[in-house]
Amino acid sequence: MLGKLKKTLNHLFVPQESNNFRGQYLHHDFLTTVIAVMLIVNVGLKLLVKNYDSNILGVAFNITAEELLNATNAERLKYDLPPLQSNDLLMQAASAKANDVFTKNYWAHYAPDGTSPWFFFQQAGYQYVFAGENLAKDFTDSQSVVNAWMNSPTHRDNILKADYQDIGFAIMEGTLQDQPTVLVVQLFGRQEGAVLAEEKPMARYQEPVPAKTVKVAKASPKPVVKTQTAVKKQPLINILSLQKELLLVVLAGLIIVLSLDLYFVEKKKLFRLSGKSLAHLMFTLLLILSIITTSSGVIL
Amino acid sequence: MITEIKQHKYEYSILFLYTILSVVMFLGYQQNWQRFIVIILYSGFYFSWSLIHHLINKNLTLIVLLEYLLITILALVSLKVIFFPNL
Repeated sequence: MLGKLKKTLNHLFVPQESNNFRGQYLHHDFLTTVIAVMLIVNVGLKLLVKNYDSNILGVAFNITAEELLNATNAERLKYDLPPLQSNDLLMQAASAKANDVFTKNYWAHYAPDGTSPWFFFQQAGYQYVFAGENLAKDFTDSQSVVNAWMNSPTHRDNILKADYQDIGFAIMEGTLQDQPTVLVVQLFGRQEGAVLAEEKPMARYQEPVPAKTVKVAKASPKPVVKTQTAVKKQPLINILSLQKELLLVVLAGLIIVLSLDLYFVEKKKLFRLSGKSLAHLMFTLLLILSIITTSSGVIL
Repeated sequence: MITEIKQHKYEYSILFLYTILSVVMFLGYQQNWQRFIVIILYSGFYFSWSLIHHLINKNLTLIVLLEYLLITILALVSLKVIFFPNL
């Protein structure tokens, strides 16, 4: 049994006579099969998620308003900025915005009918003089959302703007443009007449963004909006990580076979008419770097 | 490997330099679409480099071409999983 396994692994990874001195893993038929399996798994998982219980198979999420607030304020503290206060009106406004995004099925700051982000502030009764909005979707945890915003200059400007005093979040699950999505809305604001508790000089953050000063419109009657401040879901099988893990296994196999190929070709002075393993290896390493360092979410 | 690199030092120097440049750009860019473009450009470079390398050495065959094509397709499938997992 063990001998058979060793023989199979050697055939798969080590250049020898049985595989024409090129690991079977690098043969066309094997690579084609791997690609086909990956595509079938990708499509199959999507179909299974659509048709079966999401508690068993689905995408795991753990995003809460509390964690987002803490992560946002932690970033502000690094720049000696006062922490933002969670505001109920902004929470309602953020939920109304999230509802609007799902209802009208758009991924933008402005709705297709022209509704601006500022409409939701006014609708909730938040009389702002400064206002801002950050959006995110498809992230799986709170910290990666804030990290992505901090890595984008415009979103970062919002998070680090000294003029803001209040903050509100909505985290909502729904279907957006035919895709199951977890949407995060982050609203910033400062109310008319509000005085900042502590206006510290901006020690390291030297370029404050010109603030949008808005003429305050008369607030329309407040709608009844149920605020949603957390999406926590832990299905038995997380399809996002399952796909990434499968891909990592495939690419790790490729790294092993290419490394062994380089070693044995040099050691045994083999001459073959084939692709260059070193070029394949560098490309595969770049792909592994992509998997490890890239998160799937999108910000706006 | 060392013999191969010594024999084709200019070709491998270009490959190494562009790989290093791609890694630096990839880590430097933080937006997914920017990173996606870096990898797509690298895929194009990898495929072109391979074609030119084998053409120069007069050993470009259909079998060799198919090998690079399959690795490129595998990379594109990987990019879909990495950057667009929900599509």
